[in-house]
Amino acid sequence: MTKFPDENGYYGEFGGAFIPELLWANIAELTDNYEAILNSDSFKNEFNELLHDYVGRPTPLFFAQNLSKRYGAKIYLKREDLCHTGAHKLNNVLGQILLAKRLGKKRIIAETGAGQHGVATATACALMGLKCTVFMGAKDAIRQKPNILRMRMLGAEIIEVRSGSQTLKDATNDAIRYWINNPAETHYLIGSTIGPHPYPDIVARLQSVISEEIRNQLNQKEKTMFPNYVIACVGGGSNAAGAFFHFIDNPSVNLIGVEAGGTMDDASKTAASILKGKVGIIHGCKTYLLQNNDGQIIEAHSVSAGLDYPGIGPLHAYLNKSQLAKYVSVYDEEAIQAALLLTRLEGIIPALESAHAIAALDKLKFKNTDIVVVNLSGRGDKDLDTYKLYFENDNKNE
Amino acid sequence: MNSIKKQLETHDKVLSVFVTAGYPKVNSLYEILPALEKSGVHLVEVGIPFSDPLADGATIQHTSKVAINNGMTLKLIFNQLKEIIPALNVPVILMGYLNSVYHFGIENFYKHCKQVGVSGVIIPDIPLVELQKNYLPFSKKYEIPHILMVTPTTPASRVKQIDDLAEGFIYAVSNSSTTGGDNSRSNIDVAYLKELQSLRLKNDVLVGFGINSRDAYELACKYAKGAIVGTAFLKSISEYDGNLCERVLCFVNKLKNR
Repeated sequence: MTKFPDENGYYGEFGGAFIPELLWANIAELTDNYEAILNSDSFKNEFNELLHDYVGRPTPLFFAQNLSKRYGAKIYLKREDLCHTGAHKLNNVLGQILLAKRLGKKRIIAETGAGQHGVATATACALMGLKCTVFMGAKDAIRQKPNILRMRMLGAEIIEVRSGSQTLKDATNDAIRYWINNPAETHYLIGSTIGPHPYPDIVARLQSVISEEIRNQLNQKEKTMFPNYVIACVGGGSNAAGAFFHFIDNPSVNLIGVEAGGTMDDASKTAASILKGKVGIIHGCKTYLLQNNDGQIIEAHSVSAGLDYPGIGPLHAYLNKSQLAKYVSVYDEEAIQAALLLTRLEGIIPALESAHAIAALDKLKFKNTDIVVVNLSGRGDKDLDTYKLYFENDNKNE
Repeated sequence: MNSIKKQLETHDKVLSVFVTAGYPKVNSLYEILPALEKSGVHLVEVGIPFSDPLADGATIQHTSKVAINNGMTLKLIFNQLKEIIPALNVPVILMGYLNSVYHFGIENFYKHCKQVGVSGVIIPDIPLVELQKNYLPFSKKYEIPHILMVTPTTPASRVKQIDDLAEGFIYAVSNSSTTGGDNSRSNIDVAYLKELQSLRLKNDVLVGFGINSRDAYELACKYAKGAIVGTAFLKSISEYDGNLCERVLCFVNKLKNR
């Protein structure tokens, strides 16, 4: 077992389906059908056509000349920010909607933190003519107003969640509760490699188009299918799972996951579940999570709404424990500086999530011949308000 | 025979009441549990407050949050129950989400249950495969039975499997909902309760989730051994600054129409 879970949904000791009996029938329906649907020719044809014509795939693998000079390695950026709706999220969303339609579902529900998954879901629902309800923490909704507007324009109903910490974790709780209360016609479209089995596997498989393309594109550009490094940010871990997928079985590729370390001056304000968390159960799976001494899940913090989730996908927990991938963390300030660097050096404004992956370049030592792929998971327009706040504070300090 | 089964064997129209430990005040169990026994409740369920209670509705989530803010922890629950249970005759069932148990230490949890006199546990989010492999060995070692849930969407073959693994009773969720749903009499899925009856399970069935009135309680008792009340009880004691004991008696009397 490496990148696929066992028959009960476990990656080593992590994963599984820790759900109340109330969700058993929904999960059983998915578990019994997803592999056959995802492997069917009709699914593959429709999915690939949509990825090509609607999402805009393959996304470019861009040689970042100026970054390469700065870090003394051949640095490529996998431009998931150029996907329709501005992030890798749409790959998974379209795949799951095709899956849901084949299961006869009429309504899609989703949770969202930064809003990228919500926008992608609302977009695909508009395209496919399905009803869409998006759960979003009230605090995140304030941080991500443009995405709220987009979702509304696309016809989605937004439910602002005011329970708990009012962020992604609570939006997830409420989406699961809605699913419990409305099981028959609803598909819960989880946006990351988290949740009960089979979600982590479904999302990893659907996002694996990223590593498949990296492999093919590198083959053309560098005459090798295997880079020395693949670097990607991890919140729940979907873009990283997608970027790592086809390289997990190859030990010559160094897989680097970048967690959101949060603030430099307060160690408790972090979203680094692997580096600072302990094994536990959250939202249906066993994984690393941020929790207090009594096992209560604690609020994660990151400057990026898309990364402040207190858990990590079980595949990543497994890759970490088995040392098939290495995980580092990057502070808020380092991510902001990395975003500015990428903007000035390459003319690309990254999402704050992706800026964490760029910042990790500072933490690694490369050889001149190393081929490094950084997965640029999303674009930065949605984060302009947060960037603006930082620059205003910086100016005050000067 | 475990104390839960004994209680079910000697009473009809069994009433089990759920209360979140540490709610409304951190020490409220000292008042509420004896009051529940005095009022004639047959089983009490003590909820371990958890920050992310997936199967619960807004009321239980709120009481859990208040309890956590009051400083309630699993360790403190055990300390309180150690003092309270010896003076009680009514069996006490501990109910909580798996992360609390896992974090406390699996064997340590069952060992503490045994030491303080807990009669059974309900942990709604353990998969059966995990239960069999990692939890039942300790549950058997320390003689702490597991009460397991079924719902209207649980197929008969799985109900049988659950019945084989459960000891105490089967917790039949009244319909597809989180706790605290608005279950008027007509919302209880009678056909499903009749089907459960027809399966002739080894365990008795108690109906829970959304039992909020005398009518709903009576209906549940018609097709099952009894019912479990949680949200309605917690609502009745919420932010109540009078005599908690009187409040508990009043609630139970109303439910039983005495």
